[in-house]
Amino acid sequence: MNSNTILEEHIVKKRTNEEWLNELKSDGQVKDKALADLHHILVSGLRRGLLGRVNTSAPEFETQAEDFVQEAMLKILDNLDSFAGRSLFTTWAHKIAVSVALTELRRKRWQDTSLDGMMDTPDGVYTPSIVADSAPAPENATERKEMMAHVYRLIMEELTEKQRTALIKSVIQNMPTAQVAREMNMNPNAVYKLLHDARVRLKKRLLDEGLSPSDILSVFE
Amino acid sequence: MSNSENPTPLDNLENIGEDVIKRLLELIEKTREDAYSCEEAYALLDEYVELVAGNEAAAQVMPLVERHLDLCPDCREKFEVLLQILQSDEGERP
Repeated sequence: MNSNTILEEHIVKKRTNEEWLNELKSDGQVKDKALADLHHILVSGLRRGLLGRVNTSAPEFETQAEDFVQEAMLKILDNLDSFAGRSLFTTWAHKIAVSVALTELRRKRWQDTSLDGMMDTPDGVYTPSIVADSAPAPENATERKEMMAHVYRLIMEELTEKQRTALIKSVIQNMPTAQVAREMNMNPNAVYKLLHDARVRLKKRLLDEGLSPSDILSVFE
Repeated sequence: MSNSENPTPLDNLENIGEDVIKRLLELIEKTREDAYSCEEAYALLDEYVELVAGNEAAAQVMPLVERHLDLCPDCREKFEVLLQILQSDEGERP
């Protein structure tokens, strides 16, 4: 697109990747204009991208989006040298803003969900409502129960305590990775690696036993 | 939750449903040893989303990113939001 883009009466100058980098690294009015344009692009992007996930027309969304973009812009400016130029600069910048926004929204979403969705069962076990399930069909009930018990046994025998904790939180309690990371005092990437290694170990053990995940899944169909 | 004082869901198998075990088995089935981490997938996400937005064969060009997105709901959500941003404004498409 060669013409300037007009977003809510804010005229955004069209720039190449190189121009974005040069202007954001410069001083004075040139930098101020680039910052204002980037800010506008990112707020507008979050409004469109999060549509359908959060109420973007609520008054508090503007404040929230503003906070997300402020934090994202600091990260963007700190990491300009890491931009590899394999995408549009604005796509890269949106990626950072989306990451900031979703991390915060998930934290809040999980806090709200965990308050609403957890309950005390009659036997006193604190169990998320997500694990509630319909009763299995009676014809396969025994086989299913045996397979489930087998998978649980593998989880207990094959995984390290740390892997097991991450798996329980992530898969059984359906907790977002970022929340698992906070609770385990790890970074999300390390949690993903932990979960990946846990799945690889379980898969290998199943294969060693002559079973594949799809074999077991077929019991539940 | 500590194992000794507060039972985890695994301490009471009756409380875990088939849906959970099926989800776990589906994740195990998709798992490959040569997988990308979140960090590696995130580093390429802007490039990948532009391929998808441009109707390019993203899964063939970047299969490891595609595979990671299949296994990681958090990264999948980032991708979906990013794609929605690009698709909702012609001016931002590559």
